[in-house]
Amino acid sequence: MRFLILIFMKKTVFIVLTFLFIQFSAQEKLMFWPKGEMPNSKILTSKTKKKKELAELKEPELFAFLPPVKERKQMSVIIIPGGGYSKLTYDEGAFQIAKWMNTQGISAFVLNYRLPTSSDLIQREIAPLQDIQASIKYIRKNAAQWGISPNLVGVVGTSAGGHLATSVSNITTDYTQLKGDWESISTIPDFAVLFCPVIDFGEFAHKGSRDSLLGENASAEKIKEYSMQNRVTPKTPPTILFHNQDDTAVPPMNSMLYFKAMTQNKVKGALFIFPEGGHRFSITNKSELTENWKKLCSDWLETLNNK
Amino acid sequence: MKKFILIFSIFIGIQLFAQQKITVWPKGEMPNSKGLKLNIIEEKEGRITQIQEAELFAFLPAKEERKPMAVIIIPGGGYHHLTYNLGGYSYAKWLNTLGISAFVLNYRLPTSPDLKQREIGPLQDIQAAIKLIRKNASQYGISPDQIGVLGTSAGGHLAAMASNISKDYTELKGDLSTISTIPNFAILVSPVIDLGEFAHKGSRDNLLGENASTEKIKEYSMQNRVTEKTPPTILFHAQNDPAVPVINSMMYYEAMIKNKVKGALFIFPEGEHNIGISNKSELTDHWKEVCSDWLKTISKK
Repeated sequence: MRFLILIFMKKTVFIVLTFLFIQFSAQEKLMFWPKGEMPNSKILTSKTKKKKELAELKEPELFAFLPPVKERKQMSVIIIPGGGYSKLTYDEGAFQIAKWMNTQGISAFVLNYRLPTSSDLIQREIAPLQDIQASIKYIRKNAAQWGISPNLVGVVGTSAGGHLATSVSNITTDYTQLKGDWESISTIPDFAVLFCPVIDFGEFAHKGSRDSLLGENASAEKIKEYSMQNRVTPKTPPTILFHNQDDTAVPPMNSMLYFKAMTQNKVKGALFIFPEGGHRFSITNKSELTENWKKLCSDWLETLNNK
Repeated sequence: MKKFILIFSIFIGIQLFAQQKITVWPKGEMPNSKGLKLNIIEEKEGRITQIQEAELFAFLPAKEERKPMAVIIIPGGGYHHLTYNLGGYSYAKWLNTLGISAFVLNYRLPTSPDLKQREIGPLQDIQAAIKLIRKNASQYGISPDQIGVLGTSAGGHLAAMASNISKDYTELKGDLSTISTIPNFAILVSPVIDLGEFAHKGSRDNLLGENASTEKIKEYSMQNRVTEKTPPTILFHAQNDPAVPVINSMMYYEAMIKNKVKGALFIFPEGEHNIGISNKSELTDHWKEVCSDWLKTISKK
C-alpha cells in the first residue's frame, strides 16, 4: 500500500512538473528579428557599437501562448498591446486576451514592439510597423513548427495597438529590409480584430498617440497619411471592430470612420458599439451586455475558419 | 375527458387573447381620413397592402412572467405594404419569451387613397398607439414609462419618426391629449433612416411621393432630426444589406453620438435585409441576446 502511494506520489510530482513546464513554455519568449538585422536602430547601425550599448539595446519580442496540440486550430493571432505609443499595456489586456484565444483553440503571440519614443530609433514613426511586419513574417515562416497555418494569421489590436494593427493591414510597403527567403513572405495579416482602436489622427484623434508616433506639430499631410480610415482599399483584410460609446479616451467615431471606409471599399467585417464600458474590453466584464463581445468575436473568427 | 376539454378551451381562450385586436383610434376620431370605406387587402400571405384603420395586435406574456416593459412593433414593407407576420408577430412572440408585452401595429400606409396628407398618416397612427398603450398600461399590468418601439426597415423609419418628431399629430382630445407620443426607447432593425443619397427609394417615393423637394427629403431623413431628447436607441444592420444600405444606421448612430443620446450599434457582416428571429448565420443570430441584455439595462433605470 505504502509502495503504491509512493508510486502515486511520484506520478503526481511528474505531472506537476510537466504541468509547470507547459505553463512555462506557454509563455515562451521569441526574438523575431534575425540576429543583427533589426533595422532603424542607431546602435546596430553604428560602426563603433560598444558591447555595453548592445547589451542595453532592448529588442522587441513575442510571447507565445499555445493551446494544447489536441485543441489547436490552424488559426493564430498576434496581439498588439496599446498604451498610446508611449508604453505597452501588455500585462493588463494582451495576456488575458491571449489566454482567451487559447480557450478557443487559437494560438496567440503577444508583441512587444519598439515605441516611437525610443531614443535608439533613426525614424520614429515606422519602428512599430517594422516590428509587427517582421513578426508576421516570422510567424508565417515558422507556422509548420507550431502546427498552424501561414494563411490564417490575424492581428488583434487594442487602442494604439489598433492603430498599429490597421497600419499593418493597409500599408503594403515592406519596411523590414529582411532578405533571402524572408523577402517573399507577405506582411499583410489575414484578418484583424480591433478593440477601441485609434484610427483617426485628425478631428477625433487620441492626441497622446498621435504626438508619440508623429511627434508634436505633425504636418496636415502626415496626419492624413497616418489616419487609417484614409488607407483602406478593397485589399484590406476582413476586420471586426469593438468600441464603447462612452469611451472618452478614443472616441467611437474612430471605429465608425474605419468601418465606413471598409464598407465603401467592400471590405467584409463587423462593427459592434456597446453603450458602456469606457476605454477597455476585458475578458471579465461587469456588464452582461458587454460580455457578449466574446461570443460575437469567436463566432466571427469561426466564419473566417470556414472559408 | 371533460377536464381535458376544459383545459383545451382555456388554452384556446388564452391563445385568442394572446392576439387580441385593438382599434387604435377612439370611434370617429381618426384624423386625416376622407371617410372612404376600404377593404383589407392581403396581396399575398403575410403582406397587407391596404387597411381601413390602424390596429394593434396585443401579445401578452403569462401574468407570472410579465415585466413592466412593453414594445410596439412597427412592421416594414417600404411604406407600400405591411409584413405583419415576419416583421411583426414573430418579434412579438420572441419578446413575450423575455416577459415583455408586445403590440404589433398595422398602420395606414401613405399610399392609401383615404389619406388627405399621405406622409403623416403612419406617424399619426404610431403616436396614437403609444398614447393608447400608455393610457391602458395598468390594465395590462405594464408601466407607461417603459413603452418602446421596434421597427424593421421602413418600420424603423417610422420608429425613428416617433422618437424624434415632438409635434403631436393625433388631434386627440381629453385625457389622451396630455399623454406623450415619444417612446421610452427604440430598437431599429435594418432601418430606413436617410431619404437622400442612401435612401431606399421605394420607401421615400411611397412616403413623400415621387419628386419630393430636397427640403422635404432633408426633413424626413431621420439623422437630421436627432436631438439630446431622442430616446436611447439600439440599431442592428447587416453590412451586406442590398435593400437599405448599412450607412443608414451609421448616420443615425453618428447623430446620436453627437447629441449624447445613449445607445448601441451592431453591424453584422451577413444577414442581408433579413435580420429576423431565426437567422442563417449563427453570428447574426446573436442580435437577440444582445438586444435582450440591452433591454435589461433600460429596465433597470
